[in-house]
Order: sequence, then structure tokens, then C-alpha cells
Amino acid sequence: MSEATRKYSQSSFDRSATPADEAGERLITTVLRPLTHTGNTYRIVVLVLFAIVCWGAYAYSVQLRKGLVVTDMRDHIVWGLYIANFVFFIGISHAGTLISAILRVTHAEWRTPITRMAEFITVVALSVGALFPLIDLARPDRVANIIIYGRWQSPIVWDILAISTYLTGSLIYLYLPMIPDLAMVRDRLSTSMSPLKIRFYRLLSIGWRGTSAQERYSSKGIGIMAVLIIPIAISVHTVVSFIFAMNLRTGWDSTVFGIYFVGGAIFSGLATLILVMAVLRRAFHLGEYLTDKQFLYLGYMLGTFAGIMIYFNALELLVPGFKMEGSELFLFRQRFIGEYAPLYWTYLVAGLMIPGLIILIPRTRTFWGIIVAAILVNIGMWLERFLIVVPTLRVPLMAHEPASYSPTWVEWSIMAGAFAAFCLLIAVFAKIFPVLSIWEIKEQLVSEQSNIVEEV
Amino acid sequence: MVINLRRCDGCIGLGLPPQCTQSCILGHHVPVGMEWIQVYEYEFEHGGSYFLPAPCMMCENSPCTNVCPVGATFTTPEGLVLIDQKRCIGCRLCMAACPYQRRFFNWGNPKIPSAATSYQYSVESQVPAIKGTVMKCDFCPDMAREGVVPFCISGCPRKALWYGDLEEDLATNSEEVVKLSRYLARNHAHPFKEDLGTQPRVFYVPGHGQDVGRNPYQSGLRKVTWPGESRE
Amino acid sequence: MNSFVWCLKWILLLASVAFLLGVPGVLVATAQGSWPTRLTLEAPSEASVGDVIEITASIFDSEGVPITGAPTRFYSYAAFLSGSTGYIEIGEAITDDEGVAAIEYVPTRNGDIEVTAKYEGDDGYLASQGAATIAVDGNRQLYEAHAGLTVPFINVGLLIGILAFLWGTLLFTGILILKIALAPPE
Repeated sequence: MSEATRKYSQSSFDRSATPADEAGERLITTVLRPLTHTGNTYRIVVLVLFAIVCWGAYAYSVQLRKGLVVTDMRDHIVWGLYIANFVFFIGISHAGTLISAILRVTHAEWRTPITRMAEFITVVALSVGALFPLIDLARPDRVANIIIYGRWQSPIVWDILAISTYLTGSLIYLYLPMIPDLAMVRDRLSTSMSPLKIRFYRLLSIGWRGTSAQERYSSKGIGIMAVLIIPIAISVHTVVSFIFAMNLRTGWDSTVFGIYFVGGAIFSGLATLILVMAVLRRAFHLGEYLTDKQFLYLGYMLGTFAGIMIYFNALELLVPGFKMEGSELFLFRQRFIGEYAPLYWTYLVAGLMIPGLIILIPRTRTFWGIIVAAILVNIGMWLERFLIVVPTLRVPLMAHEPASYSPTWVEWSIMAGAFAAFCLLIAVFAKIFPVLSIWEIKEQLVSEQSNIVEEV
Repeated sequence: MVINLRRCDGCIGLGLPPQCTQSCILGHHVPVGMEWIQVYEYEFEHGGSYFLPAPCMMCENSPCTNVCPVGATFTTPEGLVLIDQKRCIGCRLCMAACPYQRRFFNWGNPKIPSAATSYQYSVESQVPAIKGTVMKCDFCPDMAREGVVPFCISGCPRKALWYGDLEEDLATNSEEVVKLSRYLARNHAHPFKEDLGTQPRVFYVPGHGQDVGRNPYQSGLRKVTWPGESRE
Repeated sequence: MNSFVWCLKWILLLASVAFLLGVPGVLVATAQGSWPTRLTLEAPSEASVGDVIEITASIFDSEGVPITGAPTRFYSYAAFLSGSTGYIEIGEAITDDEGVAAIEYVPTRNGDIEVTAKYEGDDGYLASQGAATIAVDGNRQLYEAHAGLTVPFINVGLLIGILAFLWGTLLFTGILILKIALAPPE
């Protein structure tokens, strides 16, 4: 028994009263290990990610100096990679909070080991995604104008309101259930950590002792947030779709865009969650808690959403395609047989159909099958975001030749930097905070045990 | 504004680039690459074409002002849609929103004649152009106040462009004056893409330049030039 | 003198025929030669911007007989921006049985407005015109943009209300966190 565990057994956190059983003890040591032990692989990964982020920052500094002229966006195709990535990242932010809230509200027990990671992804993806409109802004020096002169009627202001509300809500929703775990870190690792770290955890655990009053406040707060976060999350991606749908443009001018975006967001969010879970399971040896069951269930959800997305796409294609009003013909030709056909078919087949089939067929519905599906979905959904932004803007609204757009190195670099920043933040988060919700898993272990006892 | 397409031949009959665009560029110090009033050649479905000079449509239900997050583009009490480039944050949502593609962006440092850079900035003239902001045709409100018609109107050698005021119900092509509402009705003028519901205040009298001797099969629009083109 | 009597005879004859037929228009159609006409323009001497006023032109021949079915055009003198001034057509009408042509006119700017009406004449009648001046005052805004629809309760206030509710709830959970921090040890 290590020093840390001995301290734990005496700690007030251990309120289950029953002697800390083997499984619970193992859980705690496994989850807390990354907080104190850092491997070389981790260091290298973080270093590489950090280098890429720096490269992206350099590219942005070039853009700041010279203006958006360093991108390939011009008067006709006014948005490009940045806005596509904005939508993509805000999309994957739905992984987390929304999924974990829905599962919490519905008391799905298998979700307990997932929630923390899902909530991490939300906060990180939201922070990275929210940077993109700023990067896309030609006058970031005037960003304060949005507050000074902001108009309630503008979809961009709605975006800012929705995203800031969601980010605040997500932070609360991430933090509130983490307090008992932070208290445990404070209590158990106080001997093996630097004083600075101890102070950090002491501050964050805000004197959690697991008293009944604290329990009451905590469960009340979690209960409120789990319900509140669902409409907020839905509103966020609906509002994100509004920067497109509020425009009189073929391909964007659609009433189904809000729910289409929400569907896509949850879809890509699930896929990202699966991938992050797989990586962290491998890196932190969490196989005992993140079992294939979790992957399978998330796989089921992914498959369901593949179906939902196929349905939405059918709607989005059939309704205007049947009428072929105005420039729809141009857009359809561009998507199916023209410039964007390779990307569009990749999205439809590899991003929607194949993942759906992988989940549908029992033979391929394995851990690795689900991982492949999740990778395909992420690629497909990124393509979808790109295909919503660029080909639509390419449709000429006046009698002129269609413009072209091929992103420059600056745009690609900033995008690479953002993806690296996403991974980096996840890696750092996973190093500082327990990646599993220890107290919830423990509670579950205890209740399972008591069930067994009753049965006996 | 009323544009009589019966009188517009895109200036090809004169062997010139479209003079409305050209005079606008010169008078307004328009940055290189922008054509605030731009002449498009529209094909008839079964052959032949007509020219359509497109300024800002000054929509009443203007999509651009509706979406602007900071009110940098706004409608004046007179009904003009203008842009305050000192407030614009460069998000370009208005450009995505404009169904007439009448908005232009200073992606880098705007190339304008060096003389224009020393002007005192004014919302009504948009001179000098500012990097990272949106620009467009403004109907020259500063000139109208002085009793002068916009550059495109006076520059049109065919007198096809009429500048008017729906409040006073008058319009002029810089040669004669007409009662605007009567001119619109008698020439069955329509706004462009009126079914979009943007309620534009630019009206077109259908035609293909027949009144100035162009047949629908004559093509060959010339390119305009910008004095700032040589500047880096 | 002979010709006058001859003409008078014909006129009387034709007038009675026309009267009998009830088609006074025949008179104009069959009159030969170029008869002088007189156009009297009547308009209110004062009006305000935006008022709908009636401008009437009465056309008679030199004998005081109303000329019916005569196309009459109305003009006003206008200046729009410097260098563009002139008579602009503001309406047209055809005279009725009494020889009266009327249009409705809405003055759009204040000041003295000179209105004229012109009858171009035809094979039988010479052209004539008349003028009147209307003193227009007022500054009413005549043209107003009508965009969108206003629905009670569906406005910015609703958005602010929803936001206030959401942030209020977030604040409440924030207070709960604070309560956790301040909870007394058991």
C-alpha cells in the first residue's frame, strides 16, 4: 500500500463506509497515475503538437501583418477553411456536454466512464472553434465593436451569445461533477506533488469534504445543468447554421439547416469522442473502465446518427433538387459531377454510408470497426462543412464566371495549428484532471456490489 | 435609380469600356479590382445578350444591413445603404448575404491613387479605402447634396442611367428631368431579382441597347482600368 | 359675310343632328379647318406637400363650346439637382362631355409650383395651353420604406428574456458552487 492510498483510506472522501474494495482502489490508482507520472511518449507528442501550434500561430502572424490577402478568399468566395473549421469544431463540441447530459438525464449507467472526457472535448473544441471567426475577421483589432455597437438582430451576435452561454454552461457542467474528484486528488496526492500543484487542487476543490449539504448542492447543480445544457447546445449549432441559412443563397436558404447542423454536430461529436476515448484508453491503460461495451454503445449512437444524417441529406437534396429553382442546377452539377464531385461523393459514401454499414453489419461492429467508422465520420463531416461553405459561395449570383478557391499555406497552417491545439489541450487536460469520473464509477461499483449481495 | 437597358450597349458601340464604371472608378478613387457599378452581359436563353449595369440596389429590405453585427452598414433616413468603414470588423457576412454581389472587400492594402490617401475619410465617399473593410456603391450622397449627379449618371454617354428621388418623385439622367413614378410605370420598369423580396430601389427598363443601335448579338465588353493599378 | 352664314348654317345643322344622335363627339370629328381653342387650368392656389389635389383643365373652342375627348397633358416645372431643370409630365387625361380633363396630383416639394396643361390640337382645332401656380407648404415625408413585419412580443425583448433566463440559471448554479465552498464541515 503506497503512501497515497493509505492517506486515501483515512480521508473523509471515502464516504462509502464499506472498506475500499480492490476494484475501487485499482480505479483510483489507474486514473490518478497520469497526474503524477509522465512518460516520454507523452512528452514527445506534446512537443510535436506544440510545434505545430506555433507554426499555426506564425501563419496567423503573417495574416495579421498582410491582411486576408494571404488567403485565397476573394470577393466571390468570401469564406473558406476558417469558417468550415469553425462549424466543424463547434460541431464536435456537441460530443461532450450534449451527449453526457442526455445520458445523465436518461440514467444510462454505461455512460459514467465517458462523461468526463466528453465534457473535456466540449470545452476544448468550443474554445478552439470560437477562435476561427476571430481568425477569419479582417479587423480583429475592432472585435470590441461587437460589444460596443452589437446588434441583437445579427446572426453573428447570436453566435457570440450562444457560444459564450454554451462555453460558460459547459465549464460549469465540467467542473461541478469534478469537484469530488479534485478533492480526492488533493487528499491522496498531497505527498507526491509539488506545493504549487497542491495549492492548485486545493483551490479547485473548494473545500469539498463530501458533507451532506455539499452533496445536496452538488447534485442539485448537476441536475439543473444536465437539463439546461441540452437546449443551450441545440441552440448553439442551430445559431451557427444561421450565419448561412439567414442568407438568400441557393444551398443555404433552407429551413432544415438548424436541425441539419445539430444532427451533424452530434454525429461528428460522437465520432470524435470515440477517437479520443480510444487514444486515452490506450495511453492511460483505462481498458478496465472504457470497455468495448462503451465503444459499442457509442457505435450504436453513431450508426443511428449516420441514419439521421442520411435522412437529412436526402431532404436537403430532394426538396430543392425536385424543383431546381434558380441556381440549384448549378449547385447540384457542381456537387455531383462537377468540381466538388470527388469530395461530395467521398462525404456521402465514406462519411455517411460506410460508417452506417459498419455499425449495421454485426461482423464489422467491432472495436476496430467502430474506430474506422469514427475516423471516416470525422473526415466526412469536415468535408461536409467545407462543402456547405465553399461550393455554395461559388454559385454565381450575377452573370460572371464562377470563382475558384484553393486554400493557401497560411490557411492550411492555421487549420493544422488548430487541430494540434485541440489535441494538445486534450492532452494537457488529461494530465491535470482525472479523465474518468471516479466518484460516479465508484458509486456504481458499490451499487453493483450491493445488488450482488442482495441476489445472494 | 432607373437604368434604361434600351439605351445601354455596354459602351461597345463607342469602343469604350463601360463609362459608368470607369467614371465611378476615377471619381470615387475605387480600389483596384472593384467595380461598384459593374456591367454584366446577360445571355438571352436562345441567343443574343443584353447588358446590365449593376450598382448597389439600395434594397429597402436589405439583407446586408440585416445581418451586420455592428451596424457598420446601415440605412440612412433617405433610404441609402451606406458603410462605415471605421466601424466594419471585416466579417464579410454582408458579402455572403448580398444577392447581387455588390459588395467588395479590401483583402489587403487597398490600391488607390496616392492622392486619394490623404483625403479626410468620409462615410459618404468611402475615400480613402481602408484595409480589411467592405466597400460598395453609395449613390454619391455627398455629391447629391451639392446638387451634382453621381459619376455614373454624368459619365454615361448614352444617358441610360437615371438618378432619382422617390420622395420628390423626380429623376434625371443629367440631361432631362422626369417624374420618376411615371417614368417607371410607362416603361414597365422592374427591380432586378424582385422575387427575392429585397425591395431594391434600382429599377430596370428591359432592353438590349436597341435605342442606341445595338443588336442583341453584338458583344465585346471592354475592360475598365484603375489609376492605382501601377501602385504596389 | 356669306361664308359666315354658310358656316353657321352648317353648324346648326350638324349640331341638331349630333344632338339627335346623342353623339356630340361627331362635332369635333367633322369640323373642318383649324379652330382656335382656349384652355383654362384650375388648381387650388394653396396646398401642402402630400395633399391629393385635383387639377382640372377645361377646353373650349372660341365659341365657348366644350371640346370633348381631347387628350390633355399636364406638366410641372421642376428642378432636380443642378443643371437638370425643365417641364416634367405629371399626368394626362381626356376631356369629358363638358370639356373638362382632370388629374389628381400630389405635390412632392414645397414652394411655388408652376403647373401647365397642354392640348396639342388636332385636324380641327389648334393647340392651346394654360398655367396655374400652386403655393405648396409643408414638409411631410411622403415615401417610407416598408420592410418586414412587426409582431407583438416577437422581438429583441424576447431574445433578451431568453438570455436572461439562461444566464440567471447559470448564475444560480454558480451560487450553488459557492455554497459548496462555504458549506460548514459536518
